[in-house]
Amino acid sequence: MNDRKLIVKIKRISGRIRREYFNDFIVDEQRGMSVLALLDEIQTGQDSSIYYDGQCGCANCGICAIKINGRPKLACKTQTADLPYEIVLEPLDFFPIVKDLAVDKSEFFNRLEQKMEAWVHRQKEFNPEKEDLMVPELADALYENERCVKCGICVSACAAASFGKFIGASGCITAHRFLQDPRNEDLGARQKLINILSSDDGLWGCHAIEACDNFCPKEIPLGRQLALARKETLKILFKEWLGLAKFWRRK
Amino acid sequence: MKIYKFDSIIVGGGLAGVRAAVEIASKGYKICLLTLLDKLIRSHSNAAQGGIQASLANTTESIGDDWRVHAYDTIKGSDWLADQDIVEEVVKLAPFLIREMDYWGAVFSRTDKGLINQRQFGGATYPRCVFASDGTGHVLMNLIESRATCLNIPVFSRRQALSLILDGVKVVGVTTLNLVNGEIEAFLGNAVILATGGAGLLYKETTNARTCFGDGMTIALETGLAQIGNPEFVQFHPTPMPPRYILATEGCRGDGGVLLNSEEKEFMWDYSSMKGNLASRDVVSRSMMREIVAGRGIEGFSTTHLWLDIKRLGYEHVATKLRDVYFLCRNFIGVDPTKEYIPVRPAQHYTMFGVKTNKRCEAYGIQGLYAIGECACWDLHGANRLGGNSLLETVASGYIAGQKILENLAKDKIQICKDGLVEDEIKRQETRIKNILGKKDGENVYRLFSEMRGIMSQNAGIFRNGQDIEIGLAALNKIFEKTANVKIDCKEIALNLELQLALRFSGMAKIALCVMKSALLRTESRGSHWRDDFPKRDDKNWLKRTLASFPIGVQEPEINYEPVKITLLPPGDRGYGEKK
Ligand SMILES: Cc1cc2nc3c(=O)[nH]c(=O)nc-3n(C[C@H](O)[C@H](O)[C@H](O)COP(=O)(O)OP(=O)(O)OC[C@H]3O[C@@H](n4cnc5c(N)ncnc54)[C@H](O)[C@@H]3O)c2cc1C
Ligand code: SF4
Ligand code: SF4
Ligand code: FES
Repeated sequence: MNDRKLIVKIKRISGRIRREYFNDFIVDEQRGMSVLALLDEIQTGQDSSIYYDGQCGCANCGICAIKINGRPKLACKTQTADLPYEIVLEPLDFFPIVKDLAVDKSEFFNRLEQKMEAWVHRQKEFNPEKEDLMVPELADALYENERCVKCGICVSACAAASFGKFIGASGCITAHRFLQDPRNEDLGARQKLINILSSDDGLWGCHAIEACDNFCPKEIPLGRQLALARKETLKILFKEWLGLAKFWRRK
Repeated sequence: MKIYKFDSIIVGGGLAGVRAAVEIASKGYKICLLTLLDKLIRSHSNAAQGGIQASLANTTESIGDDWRVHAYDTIKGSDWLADQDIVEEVVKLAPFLIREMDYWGAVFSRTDKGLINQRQFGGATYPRCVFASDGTGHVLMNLIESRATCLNIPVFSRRQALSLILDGVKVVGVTTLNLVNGEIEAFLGNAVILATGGAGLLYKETTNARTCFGDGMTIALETGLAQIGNPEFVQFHPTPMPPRYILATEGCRGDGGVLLNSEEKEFMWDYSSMKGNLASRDVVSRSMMREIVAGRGIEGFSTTHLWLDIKRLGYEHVATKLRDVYFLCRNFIGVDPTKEYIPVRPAQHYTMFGVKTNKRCEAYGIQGLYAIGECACWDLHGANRLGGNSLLETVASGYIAGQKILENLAKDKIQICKDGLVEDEIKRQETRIKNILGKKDGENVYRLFSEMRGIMSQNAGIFRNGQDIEIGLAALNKIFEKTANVKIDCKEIALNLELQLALRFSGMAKIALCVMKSALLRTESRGSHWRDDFPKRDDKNWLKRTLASFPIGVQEPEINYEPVKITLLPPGDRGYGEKK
């Protein structure tokens, strides 16, 4: 396989009046070549006007997500050896295009983080001498959702996200992470998370078809994580409802 | 011409930069963050896997640990070049900084009792590396970005800082290239903090990400006023995985993994009788290269490598405690580490050098300029950094610089600078860009860049000697001459990767020259700097810190030295039992 010649079709999009077309390149495949390395090869050797994003090279930063032969993937994690010799590269769906393969995901994620106040709201005083206890199982559970690198793949793969304000699998598990964290002590902040999760923009808008699950490059079991979030949200809502019912009965 | 004004400007949205921003913004001052990337969490700090050191002493294995032991470990690791006052201050702060991040919501791994857990790292007497599985940096970036969101700190993304705007010897702001629309902008403030991370891309084989050009160092050096501290000290990590040198964390060995040669022998005990697989990184990297040179390496993965065995830790451990390594091995090199050995070979990992500052992170030579994180050298790491100490350094220096700036902001809030100064600097940068774009023929910047990286790996790598360095220096000088004649093919100002590289390349070549020249002058072996022709440490002549500068109009760096103050621990044996 070492002497394979790859035919790479790259979608070019630039300028204020969006011109769209494909450019073809022929590249000698190298051993252990990732799609990101393939792009480097083309960019530095054949056409330096191509633009794409890449940073960590090891599936950690989430910036390099593109569509590879129609499927949303991380360019750094995808090995050319796993692909046919003809490779079509396009920008990720859903997000606004910056140029060629680069898209802007920051606006989507930043707005989401603002909206759901994605930070831990403390009320207790800070004690520099001793940390608050947390059972390891809970720390592990929080970590599972923290592993999301905001690559946007689940959002772009999701039919529900393609219209409306659905926050995507990433948004749902992030909201759940802050709901699960007992250090998030502010009741108002927790209510905000529940409201978002239990709306059409949140879990109620998810059709649970799990298109996202297959694609998450960090191998977060999104189907399971979404189900956990759903269960917890329902539990909280049920408790609220019970409380209300009791309140009315007492009246 | 876009001009933004803030109380202070932070260049760099990694852990160090954002930690400083949080400190300053929490007191109500106006601050902004500049980053090359689209979002804070993308910064390279994200890739740190292993952990962050702090002597919490809260597990049974770490009873007896305290700031003193942490300080001694750090100083020994640094081969006595570290600034001991700074070491003391930072290690004393460490438990506070960790607990504060935990309070803010960091997801650290826990002990059975629910306390913050710690793991063993090379060169540490006790297990004191606080971690979050093996995504510590990722969790901390999530955390610090959540603080920045909470404080509503403005982030200017996809910006490349190009130069400092100076009023005499005082900095009043920075110019940036807006990567998206190609505009040159100015950000003005009473203080400018450089937090642009390390310069790993100076080397061909590196674990560093694609933004680790060392921009902060180059724009400081290019003023002709700032100094680069200890440029000859570059760390090579023992266990990146070829062919692309993705890191397998030191936690692998901390948790009990071992290095093996082609005979499947645990060779590290032959080189470090006391610490074996857990000696400091410089010692392990050198020992591995010696094994390879002795013909006990294995051919494959596009190079000659050794093995790292973590399968002996069992599937359970690898799949949970070393989960990211498990993930990386399977996906990036096609190896299942629960069943097979992992191929490893040393590669560049960390730059101990950086913009030289004092204890309060204030840069030498330029008023109002601060440098923090990997971009700086206040000298916590000396000749070799201990694993887990650089994440600590990012938050500690962010905190300390933040405090210092708050102090100054409380005193004076008004910024006066000469008329036309800012406009002139913007124009200067615009002209620079026009010249590069206008050039019809000249040198290809990608070719020069890759040549330079090759020379650095070849001639200023793990093993160095006078002759090789001389050759390297001559070759670098040739490249440096050519930097004035760089031509690029893509002629756009906006969204042009080639232009972005061309703009920083001559500065990078200057840093490379600083590294090469100080490596030539230091005729001893200390920490990461190994000279075959001078294999002993020489405290009589070389217990001193290198200061490199590049005065304007000169073709070669100027090298000076400053003495090292010894307050806690006098020079002695590092206690790794390294056989040389
Ligand atoms: C693979 C790997 C694993 C590591 N593991 C550990 C570990 O386990 N423990 C540990 O202690 N240390 C570890 N380190 C080291 C540690 O991660 C880094 O030293 C540290 O994260 C550096 O942080 P920083 O904030 O200084 O810079 P970075 O996080 O690199 O951030 C730099 C920022 O500057 C911005 N920037 C750069 N240039 C410009 C410019 N011209 N204009 C505007 N913005 C700019 C970038 O966009 C980025 O936001 C590891 C390093 C690597 C490579
Ligand atoms: S959940 Fe997975 S696919 Fe979605 S943004 Fe996070 S890492 Fe990407
Ligand atoms: S399960 Fe389906 S609808 Fe729900 S987030 Fe995933 S892809 Fe979208
Ligand atoms: S480059 Fe960071 S995830 Fe691909």
